[in-house]
Amino acid sequence: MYEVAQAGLIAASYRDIPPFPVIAPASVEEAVAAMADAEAPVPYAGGTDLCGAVREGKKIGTLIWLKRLDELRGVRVADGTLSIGALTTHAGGAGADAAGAIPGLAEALSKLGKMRIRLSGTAGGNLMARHTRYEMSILLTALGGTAHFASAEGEADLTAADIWERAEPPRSLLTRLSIPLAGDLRLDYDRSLRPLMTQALARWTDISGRPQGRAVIATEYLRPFALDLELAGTDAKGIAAAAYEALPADFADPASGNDWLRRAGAAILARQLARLEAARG
Amino acid sequence: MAERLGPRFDLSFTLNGASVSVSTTTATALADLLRERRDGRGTRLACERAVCGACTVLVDDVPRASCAVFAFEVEGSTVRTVEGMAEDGELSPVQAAFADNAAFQCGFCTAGMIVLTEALLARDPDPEEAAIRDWISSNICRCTGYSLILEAVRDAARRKRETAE
Repeated sequence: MYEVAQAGLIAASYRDIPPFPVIAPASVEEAVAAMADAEAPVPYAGGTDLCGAVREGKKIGTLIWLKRLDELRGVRVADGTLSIGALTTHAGGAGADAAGAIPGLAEALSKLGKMRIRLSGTAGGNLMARHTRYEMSILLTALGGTAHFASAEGEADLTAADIWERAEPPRSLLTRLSIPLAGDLRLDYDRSLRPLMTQALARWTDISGRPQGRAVIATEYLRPFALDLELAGTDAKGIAAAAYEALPADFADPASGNDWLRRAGAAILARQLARLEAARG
Repeated sequence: MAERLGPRFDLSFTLNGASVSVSTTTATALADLLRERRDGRGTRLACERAVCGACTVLVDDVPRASCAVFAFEVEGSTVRTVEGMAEDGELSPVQAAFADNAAFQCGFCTAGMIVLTEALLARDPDPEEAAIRDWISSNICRCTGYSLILEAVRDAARRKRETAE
């Protein structure tokens, strides 16, 4: 699963960026139109990643500056779905009352990056940066959520796995993340072994009242991998050990071998299961 | 209606309480714009990719790594740098706390640490230890091991509270 990077640092400084036109749309409709019409459009929000991306080869034809799109900020719950606007900062998400609809979500968001990053970095930017070490892809996968894209050609809802495959419509704009609020959905995100690995655990009950769970493991270099859990009828260590039998043998990277990831991942998963069980009271 | 900027444009913002108007380009980083001014070298540049925080400034009271902020973003905004912290020739409580606690060694990160501390204490005048560590870990210091910086932040909080009382 580990792929050697095809490109590295190609510009010593951001000063190699040539000047570019900027469009600051006042609505999502204008932003979608700008994405459709502008030359090589690049959406820009929190600004925590673009300079680094440019130094690694990203080209800016036209910068689509999203600052004015307040409609893409905030966390809301409606019709059994929790939505996180693409421009919601990590700090904003962590402090949103609506995030409480999924116990553990606010705490997970409060762990992303450091405070200076959390005040500017956005949910959408974290996901679309497509860095394996970034968390929104991990959390969205665990929670069974999707990302909503708008384009001049129409709209689309994609999973995090789809986004890793760059399946979003051409010239589209990520507008929100949507998470269906399954029964008693809860989240635990463990970063204690970051950067070697992190793991998210979601737990919920299905319509028949059976407990369900999904663990997502990711490393500095590997895309998130989901493990579906069988929660009924055994203890946390047994559940974790059984789940990790499904981890592919080639899930390993230069920093973390497969055997170690299995041992560490299962140990952390057992702790996460116990924490969520305790939180349920 | 969508606003558009060409590659070169006129920029106006408030810098440390003074109005500034300059002609610049869309690709210009705020850090470079600040440092090109004769009085702007307090803002340091190190990693140039928003990681180390040496270039931290306040944009509308939000701490930002100015190497990763395009200058056009501060149109109409208020920017504060370390040069704007002192008042009437007196070090601010945060600056004085850093000096009195020897919270630096090479000093390269100090301006960013001071600006970051100002942002923290503006939001939380009496931060708990966990909050101090969370905020200060935003920026990188390669010399001090952070102990003296943490003590300076605690001291700065005390000084600012005493000043306010």
